[in-house]
Amino acid sequence: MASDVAVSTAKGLEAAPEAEDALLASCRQGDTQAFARLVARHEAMVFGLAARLLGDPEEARDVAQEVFLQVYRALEGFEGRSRLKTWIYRIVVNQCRNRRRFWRRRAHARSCPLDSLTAREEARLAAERGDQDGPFAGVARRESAARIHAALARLNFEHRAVLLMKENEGLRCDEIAAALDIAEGTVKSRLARAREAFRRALGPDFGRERP
Amino acid sequence: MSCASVKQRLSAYLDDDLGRDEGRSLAEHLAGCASCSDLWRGLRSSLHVLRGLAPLVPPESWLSQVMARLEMERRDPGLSWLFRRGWAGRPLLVQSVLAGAIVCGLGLGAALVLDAVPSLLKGHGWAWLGAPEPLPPVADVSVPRLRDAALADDFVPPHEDSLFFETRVLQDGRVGEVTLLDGRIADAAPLINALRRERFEPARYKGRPVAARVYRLISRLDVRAPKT
Repeated sequence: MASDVAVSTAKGLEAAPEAEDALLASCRQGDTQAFARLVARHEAMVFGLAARLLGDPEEARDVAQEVFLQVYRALEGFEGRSRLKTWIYRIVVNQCRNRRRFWRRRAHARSCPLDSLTAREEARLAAERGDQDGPFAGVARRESAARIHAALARLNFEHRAVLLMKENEGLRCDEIAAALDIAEGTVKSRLARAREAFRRALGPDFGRERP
Repeated sequence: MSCASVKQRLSAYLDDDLGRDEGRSLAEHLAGCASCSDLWRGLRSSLHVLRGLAPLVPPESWLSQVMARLEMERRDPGLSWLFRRGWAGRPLLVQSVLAGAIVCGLGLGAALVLDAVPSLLKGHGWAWLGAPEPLPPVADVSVPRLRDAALADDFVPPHEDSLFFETRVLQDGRVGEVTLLDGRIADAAPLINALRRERFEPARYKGRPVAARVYRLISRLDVRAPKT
């Protein structure tokens, strides 16, 4: 039953993008299908950010579920002072931070590389492209992604969050500040340090190898 | 502009956050400084790959799992209701609170009534509903008594002796256990067997039976050999 909802709503989303306010209003009235549309709209963003922040796709799936359940529970209290997306970003980062602390307290470094997931993604993208680039391009892309993820993993959590939100998610500094509930100046200084740390972590030869 | 200050401003330059003059000055420095120019290219290139990362999407079954969990939570919210705001998701809140208040009110009212009128109840045999009565003084309680005297008639002692017994009398008057504390067991055995079959009347206080689960009676019996 739930899968039917998911499929039909995902198709509906592609067909006619719904206004955010209307979607929120439907969700608040307990419309499960509307909430499924909301999840489908934001799942890639939530899952992608969680996976890259935690460095573990399994954990990211779990965290992403928690995020949407929290969104559902707190939807009544969402006053719309920030954009829905910004609000969801805040929940994602907080959930990931809590999850990290949880594992830290148990002295258990739970992290597995994103390589396997990236490989799957690459395979899917290659299939969609009809393998025009050939197998070597896929391998190179995968290796490159693994290096990027390794470099990201070397940053501290707050720097990684700011960097990913800015460069990968394309948020503005004021949006990041709103999402993380910090000053915009703090975002900019963290961003500068994170960029530099990421460049160093990637290594000096990384950019030069690229065509 | 020095190389150190250029390095500090590269991130702001990238976001176009520098003023016109500062931006122009930095651009001129980059054009003339190979080291800073390398740094600038490295930074842009690393961020370029970050922007170009393939989107990560959860498996297709994931959305169904989320919706299934949501449905479970809607049916049985567990402790999550503690974290909800206001009236959210509590359609029966008013009715539940009202029913709870009525039940609490009835319970409290009944307790107050029973507490306020124990004296009324005492006179009608409902004293146990009021405050517990104090225990009667031991000296005023009559001991349990044997209901018949057949015991002495049937007992023919072989020797003269003084026998000490402990008899445990149950609430219904039956004898639970007889223990010989002192005396010859051979002399006492027939008497012990007879005692075990006896029934006692309960102890009384002011004419009313006293509720006690067991009485321990310690008795002394002086027996004499029959006269020949």
